[in-house]
Amino acid sequence: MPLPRTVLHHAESIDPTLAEWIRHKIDDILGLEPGTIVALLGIVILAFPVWLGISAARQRRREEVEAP
Amino acid sequence: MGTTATPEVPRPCSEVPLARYAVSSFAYVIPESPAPFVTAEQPQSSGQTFYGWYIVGALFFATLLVVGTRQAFGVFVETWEEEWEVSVGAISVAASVGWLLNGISQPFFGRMVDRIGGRPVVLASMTIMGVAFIAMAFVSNVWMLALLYGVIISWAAGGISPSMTGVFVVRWFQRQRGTAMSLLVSGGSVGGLVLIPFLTYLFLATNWQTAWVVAGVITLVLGVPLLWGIVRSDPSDMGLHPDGDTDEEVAERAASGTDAVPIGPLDAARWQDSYRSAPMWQLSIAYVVCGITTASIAVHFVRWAGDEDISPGTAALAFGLLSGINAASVLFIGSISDRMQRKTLLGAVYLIRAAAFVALIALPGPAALWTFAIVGGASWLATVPLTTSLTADVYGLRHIGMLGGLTLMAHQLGGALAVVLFGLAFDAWGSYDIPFAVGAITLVGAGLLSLTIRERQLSARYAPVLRARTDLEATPAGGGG
Repeated sequence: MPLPRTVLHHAESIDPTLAEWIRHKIDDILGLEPGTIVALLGIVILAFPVWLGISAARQRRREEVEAP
Repeated sequence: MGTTATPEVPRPCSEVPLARYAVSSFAYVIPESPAPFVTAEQPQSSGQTFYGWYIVGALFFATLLVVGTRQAFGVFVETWEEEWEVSVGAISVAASVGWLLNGISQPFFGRMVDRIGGRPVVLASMTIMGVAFIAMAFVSNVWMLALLYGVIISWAAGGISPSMTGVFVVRWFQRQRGTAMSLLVSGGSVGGLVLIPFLTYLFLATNWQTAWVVAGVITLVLGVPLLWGIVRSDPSDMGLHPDGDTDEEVAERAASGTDAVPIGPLDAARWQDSYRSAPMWQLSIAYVVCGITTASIAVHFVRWAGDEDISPGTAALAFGLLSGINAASVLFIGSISDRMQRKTLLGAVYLIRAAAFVALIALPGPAALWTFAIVGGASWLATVPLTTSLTADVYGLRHIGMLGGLTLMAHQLGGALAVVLFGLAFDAWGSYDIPFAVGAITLVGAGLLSLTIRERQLSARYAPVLRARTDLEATPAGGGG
C-alpha cells in the first residue's frame, strides 16, 4: 500500500515525485545554493513568530496600562 | 450542569421534533427577536486588534510547523530506502500506522480539550512533537521509524489537528468563525509551501538527520513559547468576550433580554446525546465521504495517471496545482461562510468535488487530470472550516472537542479503508472507473445530506438559544487555561 505517495491533504506526507519536481523547478528558477535557500526560508520561518509575539505582548501591555 | 437549571433526561429524538428537542431538555431562555450578537458585524470599539486574532496567528504557526514537517516525511523516503536497505512498502507501514493512530487519537484529545481546556493540550502536543522530531535523527531502522513517526509523532499531532485548534476558534469567535477557521486551516497549506522546501534544501545542504533536528529545535524554540505566551483556551481567561465585544456591549444585550449567553440550539448535557439528532449524523457521514474521496485520490492519483499514460511528474504537478488552489479556496469559502448559510456552501463543496470525480471518468486522460486539479482543488480542504463551524453553531461549545474529534476520526478511518478498497477494485477490474463512480455517488449523497441540514432552525446564528450566564459558568467543559 503506497501510503507515502500521498499528498498535501491535512498532514499526510508529500509525494516524493512532487517533492523532486518542486526542487528541480526551484533550482531552475532561482539557481541558488541550498544553503542560501535555507537561510532565506529560515528568515521567513523566524520572522512570523517573532513579529506575532512582539505584537501580542505590546497589545497586552497596552491593555494593562489602559485598564482602570 | 449548573445550579439554576437541572436538565431532564433528554428524550430520544425520534419522539421529539428536533427544534423542540433542545428547548424541552434544558432551562433555556429564547429571545423573541433575532439575537443581536449574530445579526450584524459589530465594530471593535477600542480600535485595537482583537486578541483572538493573535490566538489564530499562534495556532496558524503551530499548524504550519506540524503539518509542514509531517508532510516532509516523503522527502526522506528514498534516502531511507537506500540507507536502511528496505522497501518503500516497509516504510509505508510507518505512514499507515501513523494515519490510523492520528485518527484514533482525535476523540482522546477532544475529550481532554473539553475537560481541561485546549491550552495544556496544544502545549503538551507541541513539546512532545518537538522532542520526537529531534529523536528522528537517531532512527536507524524501519521499526524505530514506525514507533517514533507512526506512533509517537502521529499520535501527538492529533493535539494540533484542525478539530482541536478549531476549538479555540469557536470559543474566541462567533460572528467570524468561518474566516478564523479558514485562516487556521490554511496554516497547513502554507506549512507545505514553506517547510517542505526548507527541509528539502537543508537535507541537501547537510543530511536528513540535521533536517529533523532543526525541525525539532524550531518547534521547541519558536512554536512552544509562542503558544505558551499567546494562546488562552477561552476569552474569559483574559477577561474578554468572543469577537472582542466590550463589557458595555454585553451589558447592553443583557439589559435587552436577560443575563444570558448564546449556546448551540442542540447543546446537550452529554456528548453522546448529540448523536440523537440529525445534524450530527449528516455532518459525520458527509465528513466520512470527504475522507474517502480525499485519501483515495491522494494515494491512487499517480497510479491512475500512469494507467492513463500520464507521466508521474505531470500527475504530481497537477496535484501540486490542486494543493495551491485549495489554499486559496479554503480562505475564500471560509470567509463567505460568515455571510451565508454554511450548509449551502458545504453542500456545494461536496457537489463540486463530485463533478471533479465525474470528470475523471468522463473526460480523456490529460483533460481529466487538469479538470480534476482545478475543480477538485476548489473543494479539497474547504470542508474543514465549514464542518467545524457548523458543528459549533448547532451543538455549542460544551463538547465541541469530543464531537470534532469523533468526526475527524471517522474521516481518517473512512479514508484509510477507502485506500485499500480502491486498490482492491483496481486489481479486480483493471480500472478506476467503478471506484471513481462510487466516489461521485457518495459525494452527491454527502452534498444532499449537507444541504438538508436545517441550519436556519438549528444554528445559533439563526435560532439562538440563550442560557443563564450563572448556569453556563457552572458547567465544567472548556475551562482552564
